[in-house]
Amino acid sequence: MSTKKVFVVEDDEDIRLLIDYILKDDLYQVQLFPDVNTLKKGLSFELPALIVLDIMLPDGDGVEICRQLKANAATAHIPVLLMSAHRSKKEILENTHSDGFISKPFDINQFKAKVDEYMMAS
Amino acid sequence: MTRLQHSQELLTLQSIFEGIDDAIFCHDLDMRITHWNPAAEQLFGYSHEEIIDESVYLLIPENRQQEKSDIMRDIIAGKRIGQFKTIRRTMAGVEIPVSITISPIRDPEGQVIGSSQIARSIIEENAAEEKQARLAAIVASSDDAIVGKSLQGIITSWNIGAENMFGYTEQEAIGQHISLLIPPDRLDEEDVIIENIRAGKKVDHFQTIRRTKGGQQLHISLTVSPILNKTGEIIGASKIARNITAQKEAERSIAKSMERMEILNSISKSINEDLDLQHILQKVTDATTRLIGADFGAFIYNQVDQAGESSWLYTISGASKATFENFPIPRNTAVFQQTFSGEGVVRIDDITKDPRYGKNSPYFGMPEEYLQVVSYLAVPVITHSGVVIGGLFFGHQEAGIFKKEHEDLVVTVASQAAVAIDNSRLFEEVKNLSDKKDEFIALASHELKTPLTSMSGFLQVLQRAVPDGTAKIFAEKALNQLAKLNELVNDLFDISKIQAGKLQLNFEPFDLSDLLDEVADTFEQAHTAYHLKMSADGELLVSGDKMRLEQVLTNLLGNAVKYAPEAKEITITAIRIGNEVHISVKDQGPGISIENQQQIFSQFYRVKEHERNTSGLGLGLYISKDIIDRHGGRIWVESTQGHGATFTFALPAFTN
Repeated sequence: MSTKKVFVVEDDEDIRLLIDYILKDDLYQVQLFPDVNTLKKGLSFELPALIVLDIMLPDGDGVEICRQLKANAATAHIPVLLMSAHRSKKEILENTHSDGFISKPFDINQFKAKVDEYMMAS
Repeated sequence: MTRLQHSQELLTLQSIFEGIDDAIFCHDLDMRITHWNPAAEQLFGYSHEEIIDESVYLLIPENRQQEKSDIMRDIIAGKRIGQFKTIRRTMAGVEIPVSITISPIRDPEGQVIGSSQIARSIIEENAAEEKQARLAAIVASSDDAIVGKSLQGIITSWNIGAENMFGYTEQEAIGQHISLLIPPDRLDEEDVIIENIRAGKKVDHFQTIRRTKGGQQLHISLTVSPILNKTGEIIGASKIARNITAQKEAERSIAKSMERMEILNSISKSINEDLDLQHILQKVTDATTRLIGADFGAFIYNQVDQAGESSWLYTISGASKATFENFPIPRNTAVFQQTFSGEGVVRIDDITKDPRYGKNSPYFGMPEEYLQVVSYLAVPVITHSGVVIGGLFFGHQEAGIFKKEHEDLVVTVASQAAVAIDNSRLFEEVKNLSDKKDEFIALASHELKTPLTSMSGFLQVLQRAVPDGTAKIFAEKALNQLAKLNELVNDLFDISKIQAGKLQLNFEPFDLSDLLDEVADTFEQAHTAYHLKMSADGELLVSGDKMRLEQVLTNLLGNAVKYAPEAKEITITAIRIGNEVHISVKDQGPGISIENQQQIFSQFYRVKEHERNTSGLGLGLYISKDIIDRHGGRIWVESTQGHGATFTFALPAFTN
């Protein structure tokens, strides 16, 4: 059985590096994507157990991507954690059927705990 | 005739002569009076004894004596003169008008031997005649129309006033039915009037409308009185009509002026209050269209697109916008050019007869399916700086509707509108700049968050990696500062959202006591030196945005720490009062002056005494107040200097 994967979409290189470092684990693999385009390519090869998705991306809106993933039968089952720098994204959560929300900046322990939670469940 | 018969007849005549009311006297050809009856004595004052054998010229004024001589020639010739009106003189010398019948007296052979005269005073008769002449003169000279008519409504008399007022001559009017003057829709009125007249009632100052020969309608005030004959029988009616058209016009024009004043007033009021351009223009178009009684009115911007056609940005009144859909008005048509070039007002009684009209393809005039405009009025709207913003255009399907007064009204409104449009454009510019500022802040705060996020993350990794000691403490301090920086960026972001009206709240019912516990836990972990006293009144249900209310509580607690650093005790009280939940945060700090209390909730305001010692943008309480306001609640502060400060917010309690 192949190791479970988590896809992380984040345009800032340092934050990608940080998340990669935090999530490094024997339990699952982390695959990083800088934008929507590369994520879509990645999804065409394989489907992850979880997607951590930034909202403001250079070539798209995370909220819209999430909606598309949830509307697609092939990807609807994958939990999506949305990341945003703004506190007031709660209303977005309610409209996107995303599964969780991570506020930036984040506590690294809480971040890891939240991702672990979904990875364990999957 | 027998002698007896003859003597009986003489006695009869004698009795008549003595008893008759008319003065009878006779004179011979020498003009000497031979007979004189008692009535003559009564009329002239001379007794029988005094006058017999005296000359008849005693009774005749000097200027009438020639007349008497002339009459005598006729009498001698055997003629009789009947009811001749002349003047006679009494014994007292008073001249009296009399009517005299003079007959010759003949002898048995037929020779004229004298004359008999029957005289009657006509003083009273004369007075009546004079009175009638006077009345006739009054009737003739009256400006009022005075008309007589029979009970059947046939005109029997017609004065000059009636001629002037109604345009019919006396000859044309007399014999006609009075309905000649009555508009068809008012014919019933005549029945009512005649009914009143038959009942002997006068109709007083009845205001109605009558029609002239030329078809013009006149407002008149009618007084109709019954005409009675000598026996008191009603035989007709006299009608006095006064033309009150001018009066009615004046009344109408006053009412109209009042209405205009009101409309003008409402225009200036509304356009001064309003800053939305489309609203202003709609109001101006609607009001002016009403003001001048146009079929429709429109405001058209003087804006040219790249093809050189004016843009169809406009408001319209009196017709649906769809009426003009896809109907291009090239701005340089001869008719419109004058308005858009700002040359002045164009007012034309019949635009279809104007040489400038109908010169443009493809329509050459108004396309048939569109509103047909005949009367045309166009007023340019020019700003203070002389720019022609656009024009107010009005149309009416009939010719000659718009007068100078209408033009003046629209010019007045147009100048007011120009000022309002200027203001509104200025406002829109400012608003655009402000919107850009808010957009910028939103973007900037997002950009700031990215380095904040990575720095915070790396520092956390470092802090966990290093052993206990100075490095760990410094990493922790750096993280605390980053947290503060994050809060500042959050505040900036919130402010931009509040000002753009885009701060979204997500309401849900929840127990505020639970939230207080959570906030207190977090606070105590972060501020171990502080002692937090909590007193919560059991379950406190509210409907609100949990995250935003947490922000308010955190802000109030943070302020207590920031502004009262020496006082380590903070009290939180949560109670239900009536239909509200009250949450108070009380510190033991130096308190807040009255002056500061009044301004503390405004944007960028910071308590002056602390300015140098404390960080912050002065946005926290402003944002908190906005959040509480949006919950339908209130927030306030109570403080006495030296005795701490208590911030309280009240929210409506949630009930199922």
